[in-house]
Amino acid sequence: MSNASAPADAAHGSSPPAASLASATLRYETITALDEISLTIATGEKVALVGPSGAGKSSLLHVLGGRTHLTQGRATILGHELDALNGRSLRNVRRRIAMIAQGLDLAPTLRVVHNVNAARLGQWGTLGSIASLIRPRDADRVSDVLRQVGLEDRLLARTDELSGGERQRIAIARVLLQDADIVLADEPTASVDPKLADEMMALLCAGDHTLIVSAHDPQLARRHVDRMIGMRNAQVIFDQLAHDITDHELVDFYDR
Amino acid sequence: MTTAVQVPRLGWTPRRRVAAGGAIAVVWAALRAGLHRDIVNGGGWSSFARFWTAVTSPEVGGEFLRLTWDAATITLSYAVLGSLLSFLLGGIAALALSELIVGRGTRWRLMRATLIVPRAVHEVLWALLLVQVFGFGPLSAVLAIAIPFAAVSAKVIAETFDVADRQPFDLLRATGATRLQALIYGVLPTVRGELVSYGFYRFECAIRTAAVLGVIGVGGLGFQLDLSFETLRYHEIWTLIVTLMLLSSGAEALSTAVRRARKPAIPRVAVALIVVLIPLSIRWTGLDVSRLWAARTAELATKLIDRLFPSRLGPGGWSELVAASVDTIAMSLLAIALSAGAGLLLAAILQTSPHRPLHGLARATIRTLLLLGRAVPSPIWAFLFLLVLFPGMWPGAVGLAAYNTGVLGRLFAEALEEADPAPGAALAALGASATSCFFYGLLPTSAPRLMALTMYRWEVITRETIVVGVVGAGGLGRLITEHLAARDFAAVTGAIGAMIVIAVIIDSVSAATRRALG
Repeated sequence: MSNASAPADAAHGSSPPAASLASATLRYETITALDEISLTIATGEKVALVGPSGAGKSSLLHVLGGRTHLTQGRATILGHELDALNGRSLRNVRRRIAMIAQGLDLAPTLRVVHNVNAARLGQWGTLGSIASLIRPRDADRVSDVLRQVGLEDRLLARTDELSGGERQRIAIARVLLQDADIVLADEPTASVDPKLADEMMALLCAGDHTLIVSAHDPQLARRHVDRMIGMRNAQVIFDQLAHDITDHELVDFYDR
Repeated sequence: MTTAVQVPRLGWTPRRRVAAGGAIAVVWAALRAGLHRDIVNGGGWSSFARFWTAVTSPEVGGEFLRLTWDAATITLSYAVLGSLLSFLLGGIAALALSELIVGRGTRWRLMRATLIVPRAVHEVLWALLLVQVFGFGPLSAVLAIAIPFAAVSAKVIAETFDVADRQPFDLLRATGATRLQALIYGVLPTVRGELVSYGFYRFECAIRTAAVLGVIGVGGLGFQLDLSFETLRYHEIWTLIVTLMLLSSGAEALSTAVRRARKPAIPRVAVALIVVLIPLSIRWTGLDVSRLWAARTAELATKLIDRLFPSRLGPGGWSELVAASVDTIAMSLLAIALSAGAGLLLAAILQTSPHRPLHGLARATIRTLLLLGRAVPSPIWAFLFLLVLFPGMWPGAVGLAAYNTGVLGRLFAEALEEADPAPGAALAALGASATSCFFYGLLPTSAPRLMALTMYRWEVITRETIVVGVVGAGGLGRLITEHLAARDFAAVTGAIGAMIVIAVIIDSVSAATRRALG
């Protein structure tokens, strides 16, 4: 397997990409996390990043989400370079981007309803956000997304009372409520059982948003996504349509 | 796809109960202090304004600068000697308080109960009693810092011993070492760094305490501040305040450097600095330790103890004592509410404002204001607010709040800085405003720590009401001052007893609150 051309380019023709990287390089002091990566992801595409830990999957997601700045090269998301924006215009782009991180990023002492409602802070005014902490806004909508992840009875639980797997599902519920144009998910199913992981991947993939997900389980990812990008040592090793990849190729990639 | 869902109501959670209880208590305190009549004294505004405008022209004459230097060396010396002595005494008492040495039996409980008394009595009160024996000199000041600080240190040091890794201790015990030997060889080495940084934290507190003690007449910067204030020489006041700010920030920088040090060289240099300061401090203050065992001291001490005990009620009887105790609680509630509110607001601005030049200026201003708040002793703040507020509980509460905003604002800012930034960062990434990120991310993440700091500070403020009582702000402090002026020492002990009862009550309210919030 070598650097195959991005298959989505042909499929989507001239429509503007949801995200693209051009010679993207990211270095921390002595470590290179991303090494001259160029790729394009089309609107609506479901993409999985696979590879051993430390390959650069999380860094790539952080760059696209605007949480880390590139050392060199360009990152464009939804037609904007996040580095070039600030203030209100930056917030306007950001609320169209949803992120689920490995650490889960939920405030432990808040109740579940507030942690899920946080998805809409980009749309709500500041005073409305604070008022919602006293009397939750749109609790029926929160209940609805919680039902989709199977936690409708946890609406008013404190987040630090939940198990790790439950917290992960809360994070997915937040993404569902945000209704973003692009979802960046960093190992969203890392600590849930296989059956639930399958259901959650299906939830993340349902809809016409763009999804970029880093996956610790390539077999699971392959069942749900359109395209897979294999990374190792800060570089892209392969970039193929999911149904074109054979088991043999995956085993080969991980064994090297 | 949205379906109709039955949304349950949250009802009375522990957090809501605590918030409602706190709000009711603060409203009660405000009513007790008086809201119905005029509390603002319009006549004093020009003096108040003159105080603040004098900041641009502090007194810099050579003679006054020399006087300021001398006062600063005395305040520094009190802090050095007081905190050092407290650490030695506290270390020894900690041995009698550690489970490793005495187990968890009757002796342990007895020691813990005994140490509540020196902790509940504020340094200023210790000083007021000690001057009856040693006069308004350095010995009174150093002991007034050392005794209550030793009681606090003993508890903290003992707890440090008890939570340390037990294995080396048990191993040494098994080979036949005594408990003390096993503690010294097995536990002390692992907690040494922690103890050193705690010692420097206490030194930082001792600087502020030494300044407060000055106000009651034992000398140093607090004493000069009081003199300049009473003669309305505002230009001099600012010279003294800036000096106090430099001294406090120096001590804080030293303590922070030791606490955050990665290399052992920094604590070593800091310890060496203190060692050099010991002989200097003794020379600067003219401390005469031999007075401790002089015949005259024994005579005066016996006389004082005879007059202190048995305690009895003052001329106002029970009703006066109870009213003063209730006033003390109300004043402490107002002060903690004001200082926690202002401190959280300022700390939040410090931690959430974006990194741009204009905001940098705002942050520097807030840091300076917080430093100003805690560098100036609370009775001096109370004096200042007496210019614009009619005498009573309000100037005392506001004065305490000004000082404690400086202390709490800094502690809050550190707590916010050390909290997990991930939840807030995730919200910023989905387009939330800085304020929303604070309320949904940083604030809930750091809330338990902020709450613990507030409750701890409320206990401290309750003891501190004594200090502003001395300037006539009501409560037990004023009562004690009146009894002292009348040399009615037996009534002083009665009021101190009431203070200890309040301290125990507030300690249990605070513990119950922390338990309720889990």
